[in-house]
Amino acid sequence: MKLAVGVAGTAKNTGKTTVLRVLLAEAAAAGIPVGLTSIGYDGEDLDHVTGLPKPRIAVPRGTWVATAQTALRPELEVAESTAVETAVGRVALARAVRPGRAVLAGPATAGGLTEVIARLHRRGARLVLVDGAFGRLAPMTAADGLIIATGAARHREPKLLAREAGAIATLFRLPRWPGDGHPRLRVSGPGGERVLPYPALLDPAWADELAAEAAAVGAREIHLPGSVSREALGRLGSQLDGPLKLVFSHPLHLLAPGEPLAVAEALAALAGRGFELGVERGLSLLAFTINPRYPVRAGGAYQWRAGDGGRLLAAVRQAAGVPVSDVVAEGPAVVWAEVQRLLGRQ
Amino acid sequence: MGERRVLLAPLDPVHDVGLKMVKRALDEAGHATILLPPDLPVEEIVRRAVEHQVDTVLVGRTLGYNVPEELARLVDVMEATGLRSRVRLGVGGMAVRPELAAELGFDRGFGPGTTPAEAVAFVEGRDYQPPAPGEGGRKPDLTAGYSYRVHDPGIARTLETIAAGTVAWARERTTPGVERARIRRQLLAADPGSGAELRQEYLTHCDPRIQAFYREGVPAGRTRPLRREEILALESAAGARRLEPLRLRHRRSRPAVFVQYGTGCPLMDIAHNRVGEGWGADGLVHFDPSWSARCEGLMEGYHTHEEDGSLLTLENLSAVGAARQPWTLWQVRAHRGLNTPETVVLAAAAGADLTKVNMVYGSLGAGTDPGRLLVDGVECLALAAEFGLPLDVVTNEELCGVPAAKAFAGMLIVAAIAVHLGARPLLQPLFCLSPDVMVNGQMDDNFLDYNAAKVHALRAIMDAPIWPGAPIGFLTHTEDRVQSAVTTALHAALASSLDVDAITIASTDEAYSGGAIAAASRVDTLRATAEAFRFFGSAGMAPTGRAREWAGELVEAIGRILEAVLARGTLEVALYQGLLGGPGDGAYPGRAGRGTVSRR
Ligand code: B12
Repeated sequence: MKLAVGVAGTAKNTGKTTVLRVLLAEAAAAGIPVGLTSIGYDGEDLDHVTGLPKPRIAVPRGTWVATAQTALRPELEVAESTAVETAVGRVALARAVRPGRAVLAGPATAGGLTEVIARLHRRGARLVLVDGAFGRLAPMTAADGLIIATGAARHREPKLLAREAGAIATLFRLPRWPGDGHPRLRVSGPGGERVLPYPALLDPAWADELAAEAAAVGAREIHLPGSVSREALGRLGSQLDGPLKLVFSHPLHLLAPGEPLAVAEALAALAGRGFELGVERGLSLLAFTINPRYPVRAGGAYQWRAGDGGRLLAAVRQAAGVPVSDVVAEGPAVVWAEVQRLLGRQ
Repeated sequence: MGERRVLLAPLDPVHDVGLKMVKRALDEAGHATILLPPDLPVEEIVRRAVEHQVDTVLVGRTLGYNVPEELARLVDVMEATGLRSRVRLGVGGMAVRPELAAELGFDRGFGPGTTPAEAVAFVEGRDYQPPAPGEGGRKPDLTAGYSYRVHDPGIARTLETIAAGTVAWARERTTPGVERARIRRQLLAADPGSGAELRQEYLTHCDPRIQAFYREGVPAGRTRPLRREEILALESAAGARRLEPLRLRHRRSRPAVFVQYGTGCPLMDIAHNRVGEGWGADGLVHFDPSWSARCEGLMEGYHTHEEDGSLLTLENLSAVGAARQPWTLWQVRAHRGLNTPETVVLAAAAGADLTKVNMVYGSLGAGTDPGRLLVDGVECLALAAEFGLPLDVVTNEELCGVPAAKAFAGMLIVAAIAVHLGARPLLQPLFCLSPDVMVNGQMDDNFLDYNAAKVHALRAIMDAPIWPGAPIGFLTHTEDRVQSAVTTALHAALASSLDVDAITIASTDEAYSGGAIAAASRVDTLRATAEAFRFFGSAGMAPTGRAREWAGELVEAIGRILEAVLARGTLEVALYQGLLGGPGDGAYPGRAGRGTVSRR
């Protein structure tokens, strides 16, 4: 079976590219045809924020790469161009005619990523690896599995990181209730169904409107697509009661505002009040990876520092409920095993 | 193009000027815009995008700190809200670069220097086309629209009589230079390999150094043939990518700006020319080695020269010419030495756009015998007419000490001969602190008046294009690069203010480098010139009343000098006798090629 695995980060410099390199090497060793793309920009020599050298993305011969035409290197031979646009030009599909290096500038949206993954699969890639960018997660809804890199570049304090990883993981464990994917806020109950013109729960005023409609129809189910702001969710919760199902669209949509702890707490509070929570769609959270290194600004330039890797690993492992690994210290085995399992399962 | 709804959001604590500029351009283009106040939270911006049902969101971010996190969050919330499939998302500001925008997931990033038109194109879903260099991406014709009419009937008659007489005089004569040009044309037309006899004939008109090159393969001067890999590199340079040059001019379409090159090595020339073109130069002027102008005959093949000046061979020229941008004007100078007609033949064969001829300067300031250069020069001008190559008539004898009036009289005579033969000349007065001016004080107060007077005077006499050079600001540079860039830029601004057709500028190290010119010094004067053009726009400089007075004096003096030349019988005699510049002016009839003129 063919599938796509995203490698996302909770922040920049949490080690995404390193994980990607490890997966590329393992897939090559296992003889699995690989396709590669990114939801941002990666693989350049120096980071354009910190100026620090970045790990390069080495691609074995035969790898399919989807990247902007302007980022193509000579070892990549273009096979087709696409209409998917990036800020540095159109995405093309190219194949490494010899071992080389890739600079990835790929589709920034879920729609673009879905198309690019399909094309890479059609070209014969069994495993498509999708490189994340900053803490951006939402486009990864187009993937089948996700590895999340976290580490000291996000927070220095291992306990905080562990709690956050735990919070993220709970969102992926929400039950899946496949629905119609309706893109607007909607309530339904014995009194009928009402649709509001809003694609997400971003404003407390929208929450008020929604609560009023819910009361009017005696809502049993509230459909909450898109992302939710903590404030609006709190406001909604405070006005609801009774046995009620809250259906969100996707764990990654809940994570988009970048406040996993707050969202998980708000959801826990709702669950505590007896509401049933679920998502329409989801994807498998395969593993967390941790990186104890972080850049600091010193004397006008950035430098790398490192925290206690062992402590960090232990803390996150205890909280996450999914496999956790430091691929630099431990090697690829833990993470690769999860990818293989997903490949086998599909 | 339908109306677009655009949300403009400064995701910055305060800065929003860039966004306001973009808003104005969008409003003028008929789009509906909503400008939010700065410092709103991401969720609020997305909420407004939903409420206003916009199809584009433009975010501004000026501050360099914590840029990525906030912007990435905005992009993610937009995606999670389902907006990204129908709303285009752009970000602009001082801290933004295309790669950063791509990493953050924006559809486009607009960094410093963005024009509002680029943002409008993005909103309208069009590819942005920066204004094409040259005339819509093609070369401008600098002589278009000029009639070459001489306004004063008396001066017109004098010039025409001198011109006709000089052409008739020259046509009865020939020189080794004229013969070589004829043979070179035949060689170029001959099948490869069939030119052995022609080559033999060619060599009978050559200097021993050139004979040794063809017979024994000994390169003349300090030159060596290029190696194979160097030639391959030259060929690939010709296919190199198109540049998107910086814009040099602001509002006006004139003057075209030329830079000079001649590193000795064709590959280096191409690199230097790329720099010039990238920083907005419109034209390139080829400099050949000074010894070659004194040496009868030209070599063939790809050669590099250890010193300044790039060798004139068809191969060298073709390689450098082919590597230029499609809008770049290219001048190959023929003006001064013993190979002038043949140089025009090679220039035309290599695809040059312009050449340069001045027999008066060449014989009074550059060391070539007047009679010899007159015969060669008339041939040159006839060839330039035949090949359709416009030419400038430079007045560098002013640098020797010849007063402007005499130099201009010589220039006008050469221009009249060119017109008589059907060629299209450009007048090239110097914008310089000339020795004459230093001695007589016309620039003691300012540099505007006398330079302006020169342009006024020439315009009062002939309806011809004017190309101050070469380079402008001669003798005003010092070893200080900033000073040199400023003076060049001010002279360029004056030229622009006088609405001339072209100028040539020097690098900031040209006068004092004592050898190779650094590419960075080329950038100095190009950037400075661009800045001066930006500063003045379509406004002008204001010379004092002296400019018109001096112009009147110049016109009168030129008229008197032309009369005197006519009275002397032939131009050759006038040149030998110093009417257009003599020993008292620092001008000495040259000796190279003396005794080589023969009757046909
Ligand atoms: C004007 C100004 C202000 C004004 C802003 C008024 C306003 N309404 O915008 C005021 C005085 C309020 C201000 C305040 C501050 N400022 Co201030 N400010 C400037 C200044 C002088 C000019 C910025 C500007 O407007 N340029 C003109 C515009 C047109 O240029 P631009 O933004 O680059 O826009 C172009 C492109 O980038 C692009 N573009 C820009 N945005 C967009 C958006 C879109 C959609 C598109 C398509 C294109 C686009 O197109 C434009 C045209 O080419 C600069 C210094 C400088 N010389 O640049 C400092 C500067 C930007 N400020 C700076 C700072 C630090 C501050 C403060 C934080 C200082 C402080 N510590 O108090 C405060 C803000 C306080 C706070 N609350 O955070 C620094 C930023 C340093 C950095 N590297 O980040 C600068 C560079 C000054 C400096 N050297 O220290 N500032």
